[in-house]
Amino acid sequence: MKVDVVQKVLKANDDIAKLVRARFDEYGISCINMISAPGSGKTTLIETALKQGLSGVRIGVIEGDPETTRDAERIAKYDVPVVQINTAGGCHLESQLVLQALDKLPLDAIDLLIIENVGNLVCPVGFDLGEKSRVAVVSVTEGQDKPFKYPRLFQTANIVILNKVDLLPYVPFDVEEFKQGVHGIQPDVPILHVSCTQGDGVEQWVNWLKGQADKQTNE
Amino acid sequence: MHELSIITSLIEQVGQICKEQGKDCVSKIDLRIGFLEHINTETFLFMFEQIKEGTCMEQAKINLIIEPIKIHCRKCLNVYEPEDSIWICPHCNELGGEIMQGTEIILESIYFDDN
Repeated sequence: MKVDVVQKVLKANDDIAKLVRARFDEYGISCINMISAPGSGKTTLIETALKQGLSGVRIGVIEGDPETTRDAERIAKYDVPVVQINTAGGCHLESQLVLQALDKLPLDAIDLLIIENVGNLVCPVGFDLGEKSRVAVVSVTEGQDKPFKYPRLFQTANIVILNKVDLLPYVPFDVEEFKQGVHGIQPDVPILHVSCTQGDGVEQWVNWLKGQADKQTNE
Repeated sequence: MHELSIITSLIEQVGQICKEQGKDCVSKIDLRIGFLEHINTETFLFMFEQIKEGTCMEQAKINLIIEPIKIHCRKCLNVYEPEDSIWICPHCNELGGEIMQGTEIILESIYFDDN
């Protein structure tokens, strides 16, 4: 006997992501999900924004890593609510983990929740965490071929950060080829060049983050 | 390694349908996997073999159907399957477009033994 089903296999994750999204709506929280390879500078991008200040936008952070609370400790120095999720080897965050983390955050004191996913360009991409926007980060030391090799991330990103651009004079990174790769998948996605150490693009990064929070308030 | 989460989710979903149908186990499933989901089919089937024991899918065969990417060109509205990872419309050379197919994992059908 054959039974036709036609059901998404990650339905369970998607259903919980809907609950997470409903919680965000209830508290007027805008959420972004940052995805990149390990070491591309996600935590430093968050720290840089916190240092700069987001003029009145209250930030919360969820850090995802296989092990340790190192990232959460870095963020806690800026006196913002932060929860560390340890996946114990797991290669991506799932909506269930985020839902549990929400219980540890003061949701009525957060306007913008930044989720730093586990460093990985493949696995996190298929798992909706209830976010409003997705940030893809690539640092110039990783090579310009990433959009060609990992198209799904660049297809789902709302903004692409090209990070550590201060190193461009020292590494053979072809910016034009990178742009062609990204825009060959998503022609209109903005690509922001950032150097957290030299300050390039930091203002635009902070403004983009503020824009995410404002959007939620205006809706 | 996201294959493991997907298999776990799949077995749970199939178990739910078994309950609804009043069955203990399934004999086969059809599973459509979009190319852009980056599923390694060998890893997928290997992991399935490791964790199927004691579940409703212990005896089940998985028929994997890999679906190619299909792009809908925004300029000339042509639908095409890109040949490599730069998506350029072969008809009008426009970059990118909307993805029509290749980004989902769908449990298509389940088969039960009749006896």
